[in-house]
Amino acid sequence: MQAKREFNKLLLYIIALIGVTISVFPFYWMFTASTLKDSQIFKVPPTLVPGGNFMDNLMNLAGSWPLWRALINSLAVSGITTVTTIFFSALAGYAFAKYRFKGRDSLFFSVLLIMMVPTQVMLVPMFIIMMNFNWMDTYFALIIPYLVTPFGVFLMRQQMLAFPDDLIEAAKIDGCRDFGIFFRIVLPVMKPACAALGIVTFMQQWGNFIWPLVVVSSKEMYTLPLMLSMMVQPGQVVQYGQVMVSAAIGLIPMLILFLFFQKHFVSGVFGGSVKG
Amino acid sequence: MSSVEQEKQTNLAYPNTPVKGKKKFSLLNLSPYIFIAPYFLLFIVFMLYPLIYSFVLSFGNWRAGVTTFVGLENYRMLLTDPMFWKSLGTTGIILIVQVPVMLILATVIATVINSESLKFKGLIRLGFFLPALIDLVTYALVFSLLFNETYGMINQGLKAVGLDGIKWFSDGTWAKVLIIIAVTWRWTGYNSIIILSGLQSVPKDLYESASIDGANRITSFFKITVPMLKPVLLFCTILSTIGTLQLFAEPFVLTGGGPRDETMTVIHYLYSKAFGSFDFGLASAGAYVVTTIIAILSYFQIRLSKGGEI
Amino acid sequence: MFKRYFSVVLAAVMLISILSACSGGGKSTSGTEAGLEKEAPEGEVSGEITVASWNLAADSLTEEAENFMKKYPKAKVKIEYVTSDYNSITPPLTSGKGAPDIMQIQQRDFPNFLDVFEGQFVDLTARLDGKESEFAEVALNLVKDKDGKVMALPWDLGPVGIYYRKDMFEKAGVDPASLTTWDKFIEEGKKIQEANGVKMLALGMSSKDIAEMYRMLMNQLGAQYYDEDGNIKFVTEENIQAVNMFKKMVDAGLVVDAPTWDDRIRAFANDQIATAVYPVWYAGSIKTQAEDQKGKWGIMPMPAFTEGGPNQSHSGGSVLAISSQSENKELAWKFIEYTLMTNEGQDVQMKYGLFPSWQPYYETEKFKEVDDYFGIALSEFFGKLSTDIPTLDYGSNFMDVNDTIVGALGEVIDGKDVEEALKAAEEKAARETGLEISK
Repeated sequence: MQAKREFNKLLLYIIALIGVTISVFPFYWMFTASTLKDSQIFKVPPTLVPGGNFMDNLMNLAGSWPLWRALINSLAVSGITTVTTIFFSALAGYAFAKYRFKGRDSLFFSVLLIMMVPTQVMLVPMFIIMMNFNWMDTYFALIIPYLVTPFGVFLMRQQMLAFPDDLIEAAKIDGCRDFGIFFRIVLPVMKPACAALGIVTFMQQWGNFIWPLVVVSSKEMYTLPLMLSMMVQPGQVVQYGQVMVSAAIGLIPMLILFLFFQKHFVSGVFGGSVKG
Repeated sequence: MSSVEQEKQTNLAYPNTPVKGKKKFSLLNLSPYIFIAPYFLLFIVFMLYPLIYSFVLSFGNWRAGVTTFVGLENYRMLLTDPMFWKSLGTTGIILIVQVPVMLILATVIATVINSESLKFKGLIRLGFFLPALIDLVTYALVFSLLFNETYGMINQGLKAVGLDGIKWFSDGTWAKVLIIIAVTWRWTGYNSIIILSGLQSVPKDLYESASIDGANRITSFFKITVPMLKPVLLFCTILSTIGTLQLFAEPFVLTGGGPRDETMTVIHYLYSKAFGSFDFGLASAGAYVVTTIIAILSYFQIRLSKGGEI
Repeated sequence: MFKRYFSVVLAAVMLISILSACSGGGKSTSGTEAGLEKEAPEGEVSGEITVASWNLAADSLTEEAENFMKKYPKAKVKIEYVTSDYNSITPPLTSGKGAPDIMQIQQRDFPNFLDVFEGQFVDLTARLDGKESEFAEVALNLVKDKDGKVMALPWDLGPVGIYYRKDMFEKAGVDPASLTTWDKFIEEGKKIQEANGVKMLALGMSSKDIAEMYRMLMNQLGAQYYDEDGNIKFVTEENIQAVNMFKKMVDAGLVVDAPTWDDRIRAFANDQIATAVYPVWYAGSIKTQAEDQKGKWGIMPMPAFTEGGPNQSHSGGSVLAISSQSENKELAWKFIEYTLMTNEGQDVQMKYGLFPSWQPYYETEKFKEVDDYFGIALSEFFGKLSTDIPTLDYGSNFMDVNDTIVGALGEVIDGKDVEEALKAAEEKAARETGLEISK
């Protein structure tokens, strides 16, 4: 029995190890490549030992591209939209889950439906809106359309379904009004769900580059993924070492965020309370 | 207490009862409308308006700011284009194979991570989640490094043990397999984290009483875990279905749709119509066809799983 | 629930369609279609313009802009970086507002732009007046609209040569000068492959890039996609010859499949290929990604199909077009004229490895400078390969045409008869583009 348990445990570790190795390899390669010269990156078999060219690549990158500015822009855009998405999604999700009101189901259906439309075809009309608002090449264009997302509302609504009604009623008896209940009772309890939505939203925003591509024109407004896509236009020389440095730098905030919030992320999340 | 307050209490008592018929409700209670107002304000300006705009566009031929109404011509062109059907078929094949494979794998991984005897959970979770964070440049570089038919590491490995290399890029079927592998690599961890959170909400005493009844691990997995996970799996299935039907990045950066358009997905096709041939009318028409398909599929998924309330 | 929602949507659709029908027509800027006058107005240029360009080309323009602004202190030129698949310039061109003053567009796409975005570009014919002939004909041909008006200035040119590994040729005892025809290239190529354990060529066989090599071959022969009346015509003697030669190379085992750009770089960086058939702009990639192979690369002209036959071809290259939405067309003109039609401007272009279409520059000293990596006067060498490049009409549906050719090439490699495959492709292209097939 003891031997069998040990064997099972070993099996678990082996599965986890193989899985993690497969998942992590490209990232290991990316960090290694960021320390190599361009002519070393393409060697087969690949160089998997870090080289000494990281600082050179970084200096060249920072010299010819607005690396730090793009990093700050990305942080600002992702940070702001993440906070607002959490807040507005929680508000709407709460209303959808805990109130009955005219048009609720139709409106919620529209939330689901809009997620199904491929975003690529919305680019032209969205561009026209930005032109009319005179928002081209501004933070408004990058931030305002993403202040809240249908995905966030969907997610929060699923979470809120599981929120115990007794708590709300108790608060009501204590004389709390609607907004009071939301702020003082619901929001604090929903913290884990908020953390989860936060990570996913930040991740989506951090990787978004098609939209910035359409509305951003000056280098001062670049976000990190936008800068990255500008660096690899086909048909011309691509400085792969520098590209890998910016890819690696772009990963770091996500890693920090994930490690920091992952406890919530796992226990509170999505599914945990998706109701059947 | 006002009647408004009372009305709210009844609401809260039956939170999930859909409004039926002309049941009493109070228009005076504006709170829920205020709660959803920020979302719907953005929705109307940045989602509904573009949506309708491109819907109108799908009936027109749009050039340099001048729209000519062409009726259903764009839809006719689209539906008679064999390439559209081929790309739709390709997307369908990828969907049918990829989503189940990924969700099964994700469930297995979630179960492994959920195991109590496992240490370093935080790092392992991070490891599995990482692929969802990859940027497209690294993605393309690494996959060509691994899968290139001649000097890719995988085919080199196969040759070293005396096997033939696999035609990852030049054979239509294998190229689809490559796309499926890539998509699965990228999103399995993400889904397994979602499923993991579902697993953690399964009450432990259910397992205990099952083991008293003599059920072993595998039976209790199918008898307890899977049924309890149904809502989460439904959530994952719907989101993965939407994701796969909108699949674009992988064929775009890895195979370019080749060989012979064998890995051209429907969104890739629409993208090349919009930004290659600048036929926005046709692309918009296609987008509406795809949206309709996704909506119908999601509807049946919800129905079939009897998830009802999603 | 479904019904109610859709009725709301439907009502909204109707409302919006009415609104857009009212405002749609007049909004277009096609009223400004008139081109530039022959003579530039008196006085110094001033104001502000933006230029949309990508990558290295945009880098070169940034430097040009700095110099330009020193020379014309009242002017301000701003460079915007965009992507080469036009994600950011198609929305403004489609909606008729918000476009940059000057746009970089790839040569082969420009006829398509002229067709789809009619009236969005400024006619430069009068202003150029007689100076058109200073540009290489092959490039000039692609900036002209159907009536022969010049709608943009040709920027860089992509004359094709063969980059080859001197060391590998030596090892096999093959003299590059002896490879005067493609048949010899194939025969000697086998020897080179055997002696070095490499392949001659890395081409994208399983991706859309399969048409790259074919296009260089067909251009060399002066083949076309259309007949004189603009009808689709793939089944021509030259096209069949080009496809056959391509197939011959593949059948002889000279080609290794490298579906993506990255794969092809990896091929030469790892000493796995002996030659690369590419335009002048590929030199930059070899220099950067194979730094350690310095001195090992030579360049030679393309072989001909028959002894002494034509051996020039062209691939890539861009144009600079002025938007008719621009409010400062004079300044825009001044800037592209300075960049592309002065020695001063072209000196900067040289620095970034952009080979000029503007031929007067071929006489300057800078053009004849010896390249350190390749050990020859690179530009001068390619200059000699750009004297008689046959013009190639890409037409206004190049994307669709190319897609059908890609399909046909795949079928031919799989064993289908060349003529049959091209015929089938003609039908497919006719369907996609709405054009007639040539009788």
